[in-house]
Amino acid sequence: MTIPLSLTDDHGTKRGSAETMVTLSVDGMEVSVPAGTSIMRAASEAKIKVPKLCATDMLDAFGSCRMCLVEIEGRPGTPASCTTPVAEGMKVKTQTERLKKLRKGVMELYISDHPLDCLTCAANGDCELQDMAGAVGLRDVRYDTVAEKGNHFAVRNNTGEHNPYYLPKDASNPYFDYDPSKCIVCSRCVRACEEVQGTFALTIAGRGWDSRVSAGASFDDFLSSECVSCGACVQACPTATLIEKSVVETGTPERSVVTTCAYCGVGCSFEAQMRGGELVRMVPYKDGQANRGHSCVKGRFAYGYAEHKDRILSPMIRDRIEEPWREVSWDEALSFAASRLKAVQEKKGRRSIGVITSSRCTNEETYLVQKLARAVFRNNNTDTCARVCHSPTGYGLGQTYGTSAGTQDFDSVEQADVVLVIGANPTDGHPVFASRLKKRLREGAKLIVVDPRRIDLVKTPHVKAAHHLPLRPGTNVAVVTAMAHVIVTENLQDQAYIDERCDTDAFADYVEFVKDPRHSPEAVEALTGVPAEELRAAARLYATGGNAAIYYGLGVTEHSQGSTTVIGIANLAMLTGNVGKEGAGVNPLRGQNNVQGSCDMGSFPHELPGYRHVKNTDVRQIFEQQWGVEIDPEPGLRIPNMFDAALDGSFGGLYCQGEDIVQSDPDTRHVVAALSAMDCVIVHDLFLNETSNYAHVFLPGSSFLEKDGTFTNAERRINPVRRVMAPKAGYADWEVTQMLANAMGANWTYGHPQEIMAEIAATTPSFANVTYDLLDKKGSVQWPCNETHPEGTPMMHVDGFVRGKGRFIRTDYVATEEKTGPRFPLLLTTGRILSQYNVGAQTRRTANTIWHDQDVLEIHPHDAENRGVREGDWVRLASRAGETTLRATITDRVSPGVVYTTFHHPDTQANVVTTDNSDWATNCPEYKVTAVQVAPSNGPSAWQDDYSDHSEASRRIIQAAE
Amino acid sequence: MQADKLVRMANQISLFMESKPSDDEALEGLAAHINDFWDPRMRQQFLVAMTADPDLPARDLVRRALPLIAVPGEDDGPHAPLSPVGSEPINPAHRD
Repeated sequence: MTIPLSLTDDHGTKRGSAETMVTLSVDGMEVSVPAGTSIMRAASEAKIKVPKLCATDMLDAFGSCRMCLVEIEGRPGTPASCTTPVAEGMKVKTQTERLKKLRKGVMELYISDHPLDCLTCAANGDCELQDMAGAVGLRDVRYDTVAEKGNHFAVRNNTGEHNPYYLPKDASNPYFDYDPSKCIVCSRCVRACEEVQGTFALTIAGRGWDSRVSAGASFDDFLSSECVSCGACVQACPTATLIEKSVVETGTPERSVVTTCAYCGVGCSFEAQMRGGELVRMVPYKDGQANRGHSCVKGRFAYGYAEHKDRILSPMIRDRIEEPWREVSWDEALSFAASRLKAVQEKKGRRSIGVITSSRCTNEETYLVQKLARAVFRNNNTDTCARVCHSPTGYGLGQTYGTSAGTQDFDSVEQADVVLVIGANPTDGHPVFASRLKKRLREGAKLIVVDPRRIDLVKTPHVKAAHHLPLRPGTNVAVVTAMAHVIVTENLQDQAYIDERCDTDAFADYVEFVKDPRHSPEAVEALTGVPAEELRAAARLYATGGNAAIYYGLGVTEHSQGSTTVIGIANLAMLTGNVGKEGAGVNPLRGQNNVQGSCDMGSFPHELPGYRHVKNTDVRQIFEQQWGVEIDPEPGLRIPNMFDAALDGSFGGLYCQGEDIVQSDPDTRHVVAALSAMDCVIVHDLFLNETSNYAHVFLPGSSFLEKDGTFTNAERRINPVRRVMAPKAGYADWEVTQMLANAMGANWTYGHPQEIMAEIAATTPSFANVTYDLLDKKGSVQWPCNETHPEGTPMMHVDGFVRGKGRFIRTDYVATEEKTGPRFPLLLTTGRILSQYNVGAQTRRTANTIWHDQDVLEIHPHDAENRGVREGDWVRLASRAGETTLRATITDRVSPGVVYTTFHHPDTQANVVTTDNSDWATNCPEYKVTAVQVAPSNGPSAWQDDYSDHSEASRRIIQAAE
Repeated sequence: MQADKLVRMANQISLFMESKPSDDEALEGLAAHINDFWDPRMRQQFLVAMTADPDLPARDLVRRALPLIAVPGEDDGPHAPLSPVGSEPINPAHRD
């Protein structure tokens, strides 16, 4: 679509990247552009818009529509300006009598096969074909013969017979329509699917007059095809052929506000396109520095949860969790909550209550919640969902490099030669980054995948991993250490880099450790299941293939040795000199939109904002002066410790903002028992989530569309979040936290989130220069952003490591205590899927359920046959912690002995099965390894039935009297 | 908190620290990790349990690190809210 109100221009083609500049004249205007740039782009930069249909600057030039013809002095003919590169001294004319005539003729042909229903067309006012017909002055169409023969848009031809060329609208996709009758076959959608998304789901079927856009095979519609609904084709379409259903239903938007997606840690920038207070559509923002104009099905389309009828808009309280909820005023709810929390503290002591900050809320909101614990509750009992995902990243990278965040920006992948993906499934978990990665792989970069499953990246159109190491779950450390063993024993390390940048004693010790034959690929093969030769080849490629980048996810961290694997990964990158340069680095793919930010903001119980331990007096003093209270120097409880402490009676009150711990945390029975033992659980959320079944106070939350603030993505990029509509429940989340603090006796007076950011900047060195003005000016900045780096830091550790010298640390493999045996012979590992997001509270309330309406268990044919399990059967999945039932699907994506499922649906309750094993350093749960048994079953387990009855009972609401 | 769980967590930390090149480093590393990341009640409960039951399955390094683990003060910290008269004393050791 052209977006008349879009905040970015479409220059038709990309800008050349050469350093040499070329100067030419376009219609007498001098313009300088990099060599390799097209004439169309040069003209556009001189503010001259050459008419075009098949060109858009998200895609490579194609030269099919013949609208962008120009004349060049001294050259014959009328070349297409989109495919003709500029040359020094070139003199171009974009508007001559000859060009006008040619363009009008071409346009007349287009319009002869296009319905003239502009007034009732969904793209009215937002159609490039309409614009171009206007631009070339088309006033008449003479080709009646088209209608006689049968055009592409009339159901019947002139003689009343059925028109064989007519194809009906395909409305199978829940978010957009494909109307073939309006197609001009410019191939923009097909090229977007290939070049931008990298799925290759679309093609042009047929030739000449028969050419049609086709999703998948001839029998497919959009829904049944490989289409992943990223929206790139809809974005690219110049007509109403591919158009959002929301625009069809509502009409075109009237204004556009740039904001940041509230789903995964990629942190895509979007234009929220509005009409009045109604969100018409979300369109990826072309100047977004994380996503560069691309999106996935979640951010682009699955925002309907923000308006869902399940949203709770009134505060509610109850004395006991067995009672129904009572709707009350904000004042009553807050004073009830405050008095309960105070009562718990009086009875059980100062450290008996705590908070969980939300990785879905803004930095400003998270900062306030941890401040509530530290300055009002006067303890350090604050934690966040990073505990259960990337806390080992914080520890591991902190120990080795001195800072706990990814080293690169996403643009860096464009310069990678070798990409090592460990324990991450980017095409499902971080789809927009995956598209950028796949683009680089299609350009020739080599890929190594370390994953127990054959994830999509291993083999996908035009991408094939050079090496896939299908390791046994729980053996990451052995594999990573074996790779280091190969590098060191084959002398492939970058010794000059190590000598210059790393601690030499630590390196000498590490070499001593790692060259021991017990770490060789051959020695660990029996343990890891990875063929030694394949591992050796992968290690050689990583060490010698050029710029080598590591991207990893929760398959690394969510293990009993999660922190050790992160250290091992950091070692690998240092060994090969792959930190501190473009195209390389160590890049954790963070799960939630603001999980990086929530860690930065001091959500962890041992750290004040900026990753500074609470034991340090100088750090405490900064905040003590700012807040006017003394800060507890002792670390607080981590989430699993809070549960344990609740069960032994020393912890009784929790304020949980925007996180569903009952569904997301492991060993559900244990979590439920702990929450049930507490005196005051406050849930602050959009919906009555699973945790609220055990809560005494419910405070309605606000969606990302309803507040100002910032999210920090996996690249350390601080992205602005902008309010486009008023909070439906009356208050943004930061206001609610402030009201709760004040009800507890604080005297906070923040009037706007930028005042909170000012306080963050004043206390946290890596945020020192961050202001909303800077974000407005630059779009976004990557921390550290301070005096040394006034405009942020795209890449870390450039001239040396943050901690001084990089530190190698030994990584001995220790087998997890979660072992298979006769009772539980299979290993369960968990993950997520493209269309759903984490606990599903958001995506389950959108049409995304069409792709994934229940969690299913992936099981290898061999294991399925042994157990008499057939495709689609109900199976019982049991571990030492508990059991659940779900349907099975039989696939060789998983190895024999391994089963896999997602945890998006509360009625599956995959976490009933996971255990309370955790990472040795951070207590990050070991979600990725659970010993289980699978057996055929008749239907839901007793636990699932009880749970669903209990859920229903817990969600009863007595409406407030009018 | 259950003693066996605390011991298991300490043993896990110990397994990492035992790979350190020197025993001193391992010992200090283990104690520092517990001091930096365990809330005072966890350390208190752990120390009490370890003293009370010498048969707990703790690794040797864990036992040797016990003297280095910071004992939380009697006071519940600076400016603890005053407990109402007659309320339970705050002593984690007295909980089950």
